[in-house]
Amino acid sequence: MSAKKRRKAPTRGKAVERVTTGQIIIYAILTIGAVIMSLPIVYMISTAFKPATELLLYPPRFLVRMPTTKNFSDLALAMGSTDTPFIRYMFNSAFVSTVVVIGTIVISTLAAYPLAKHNFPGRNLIFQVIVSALMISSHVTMIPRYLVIRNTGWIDTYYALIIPALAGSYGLFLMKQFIEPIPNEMLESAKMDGASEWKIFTNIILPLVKPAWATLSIFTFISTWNDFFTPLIMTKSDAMKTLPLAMRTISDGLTIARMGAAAAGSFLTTIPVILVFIFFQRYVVETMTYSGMKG
Amino acid sequence: MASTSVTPNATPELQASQKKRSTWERILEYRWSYAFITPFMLIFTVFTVIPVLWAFFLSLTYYNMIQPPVWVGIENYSRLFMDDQLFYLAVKNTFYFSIVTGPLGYVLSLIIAWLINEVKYRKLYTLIYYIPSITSGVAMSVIWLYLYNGSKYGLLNYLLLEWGIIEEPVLWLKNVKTTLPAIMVTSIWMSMGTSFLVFIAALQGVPHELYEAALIDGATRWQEFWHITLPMIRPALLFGAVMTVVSSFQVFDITVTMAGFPSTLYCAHTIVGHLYDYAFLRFEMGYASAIAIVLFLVTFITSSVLRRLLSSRDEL
Amino acid sequence: MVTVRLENIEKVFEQKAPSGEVSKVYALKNINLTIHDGETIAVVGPSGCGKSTLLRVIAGLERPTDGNVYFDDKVVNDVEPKDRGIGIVFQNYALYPHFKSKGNLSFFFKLRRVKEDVINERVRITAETLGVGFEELLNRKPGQLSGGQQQRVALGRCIIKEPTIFLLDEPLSNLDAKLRERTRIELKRLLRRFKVTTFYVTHDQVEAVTLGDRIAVMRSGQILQVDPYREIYKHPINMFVANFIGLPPMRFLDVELKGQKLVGNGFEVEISSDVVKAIGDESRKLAAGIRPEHVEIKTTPEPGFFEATVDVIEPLPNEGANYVYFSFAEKAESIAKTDLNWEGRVGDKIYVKLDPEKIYVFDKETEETIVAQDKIFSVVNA
Repeated sequence: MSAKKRRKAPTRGKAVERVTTGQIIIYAILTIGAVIMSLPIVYMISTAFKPATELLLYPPRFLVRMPTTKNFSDLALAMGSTDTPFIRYMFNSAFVSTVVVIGTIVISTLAAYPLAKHNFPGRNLIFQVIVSALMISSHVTMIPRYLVIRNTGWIDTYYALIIPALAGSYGLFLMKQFIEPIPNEMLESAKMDGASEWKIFTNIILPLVKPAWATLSIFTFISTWNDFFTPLIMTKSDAMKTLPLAMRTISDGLTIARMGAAAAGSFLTTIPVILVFIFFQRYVVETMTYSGMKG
Repeated sequence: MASTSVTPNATPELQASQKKRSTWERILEYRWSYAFITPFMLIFTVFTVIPVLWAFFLSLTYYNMIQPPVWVGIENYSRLFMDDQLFYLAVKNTFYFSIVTGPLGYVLSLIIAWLINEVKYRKLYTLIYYIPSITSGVAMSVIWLYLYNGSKYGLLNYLLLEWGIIEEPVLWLKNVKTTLPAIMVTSIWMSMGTSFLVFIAALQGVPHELYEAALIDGATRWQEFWHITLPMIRPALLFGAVMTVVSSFQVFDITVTMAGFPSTLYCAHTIVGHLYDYAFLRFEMGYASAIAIVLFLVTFITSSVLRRLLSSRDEL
Repeated sequence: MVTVRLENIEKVFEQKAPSGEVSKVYALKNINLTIHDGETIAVVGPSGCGKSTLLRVIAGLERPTDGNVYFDDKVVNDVEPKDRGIGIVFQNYALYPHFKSKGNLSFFFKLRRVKEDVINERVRITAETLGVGFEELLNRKPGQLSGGQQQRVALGRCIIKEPTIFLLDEPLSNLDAKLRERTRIELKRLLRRFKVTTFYVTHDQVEAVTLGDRIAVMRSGQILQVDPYREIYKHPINMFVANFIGLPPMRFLDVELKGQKLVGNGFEVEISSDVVKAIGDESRKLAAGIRPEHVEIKTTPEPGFFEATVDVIEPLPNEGANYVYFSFAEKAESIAKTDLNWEGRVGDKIYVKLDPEKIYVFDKETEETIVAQDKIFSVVNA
């Protein structure tokens, strides 16, 4: 219909905006709900900047009056018994997450290509195995993984946090979904022109698949950054801890007085993820989340 | 692309040897495919396939990492089901947790997704409701600790005291009766994650002409939701249900952070917590593996049941 | 039955460019139209001209930003679509995929909790009206039906409510050519039978001519002309309409007024003094056009006939004629109609005369018609 071409907001999914009391009620509910949802995060940000005087106020105050960055500098001290500066935890999280994202993109895209487009012997079998792995929750594999890592001597190293995470079924499926619609004719004509598989991969597949990388990056980054269980069992020394682990330590025996520093820690653990998400989400193709659920 | 090079009239032996050559030829032909999938398959095999098989094996052994594993058959399982009170407590807690947060979180996600679909500023609302789910459970739990603080400084206690609802500050996260419910609130707050996005995408995928046709036929908002929207997003509903159940069974990090480990009288002890306890505190790998397998089976069965239930509803 | 009147309808959409700039798009501008009780108006125009938007405004799916919609002298701008008594067929049918066909037809009644037996009776009557084989479709879901079958179900859903207005948005455009022909006739039969006020949107001229009592030509949000086909064909009010209506599309020739003649590149036409007067000024930039049936071709030179070359010959056995595309000179092309026996070939030299009593003259700048065959439009001289 011609009208569809020109209309942009707000009507995907709903063409008619009913301006009725019903609509107002909906807005009210959504807005109040949104405020409630944001409260803990706002509270976190506010507390992170509260000076000690405001932390111990009675009655407790929600928002901060005189923000300070002292809590952040206190973080290192608040950790108490260790020599590890908080920056180190941040570095660990950032480093591990970034490497995992890059590695996952590379490995998943590479593997997804033949699975999507080539009919090689064993393809179906491999595919079935990967699909079944999707169903097995990570906790089943945690213990044996720990043993494997122990045997390779990788305990308490970055390898333990990075390598196992690279072969995720989700990433593979995502890339496969994206590669499949690429017309086979395109690949065949490239082959007839004499292109090698590698050339086809780099010149045809890769450019067309880039939008999926945004989605994959976001989700991989978020899940790796927030991962608590893996670093919990794979690291021993304090220097190798990631942010969630560090926060767990802070939460042990937490007093009101140290809430400022703790909130600062939460801030540093949470805000980067939110920023990454907000930044990348405009590149995320909406159909990705939709196609993911077919599995 | 592979040439079928089997001559039809040849003797069976000749045909067989020709066929075999074909398979090897094919493998050689696709050597690039294998090259491409090697990095993935390598890591996948070592860190997923083998561990899965190993887990089953381990659950039938006693293994404390100092001595080699000792075969014990199903003793781990019998001990788990017969002798382990803590395990039952963990199961009870986890189920309680799942039954409340699962459906509640699910319905909430669906309702909010639907509401957002009815209005403008969708991106903004979606963002606000989604962000809690990508925060680190541990990091946010620390904040909730502040809210739930057991002294009068805790925000919740302060408000309730002010409003006269309680007379003394409540130790939310120490009191056996209130710990799990408190944690459930946090969990629901964080639960609008992938399922939520999937709902939103599915809702937007419904062709708007269907709504227009319904509008012309005179459907109210509720009738439209029930007769048109829900049936059209059925796959998303199923996906959301399975995801929600699976993830709620695995709760651990927020319970540990908020209620401590161990929690008061183990009131917030979960199955995964139990697993962690036996694997990494007591180093009984075999027993812990059994717990892991049980967890897996429970999750698997529940999601299969859900799939069955939601896929076979009748239509007009 | 209902008379629909549109008064000064305007519909503006706001569009946000990626840069954040908001621009206004006039989907409908200054629309004034009356659809008489029982009449079928066929609305044609290029894509994006606003015909579907207009349909939606009548349906109540869009509110006009200005102007009023009247059903029988009652303003219905604020009336909900469901209360307007309309039956609608969407371009892609919009059947409810999870209901069987019967469910699709009866949804309207189910919403109002009408008794089961009443519903069944209605369904039966509708099935009868829609002809042979419709019952078999009832128990299948839209996904199991072919395009043509879905279309019938969509039609059924429309008429089962016994609406007072039919709104049809390109209902045949998703069908293949043969089916389209058949269905068009069926549709005509139905419209005749029900005598319901109908608003029919299409981009296909043949449909418009067959089904419409009057045709409305739209462009860029405005209605250019509303008249029965014959009238539009003979007396289009501007170049766009002249070109849009009538197959093959009219070709225009640049001409100048010199004395009593229109002079073009390689040809001339002697015109009457009335026409000369209507044109007025010799400096006006003009375009001329003619319908193929009013072009005379001879194979040997004769006075009054001008030399031209045959470019393309398009035989149309259905019409028992050829369309001969020819050019007097570079960029001076037109089309003639000959019978099938004509022996000319591409590249041949022919001699052409344009009938001066049937010629069209347009003002090239305003694109308005000055003269259309026997009708002189009163034009304000530039």
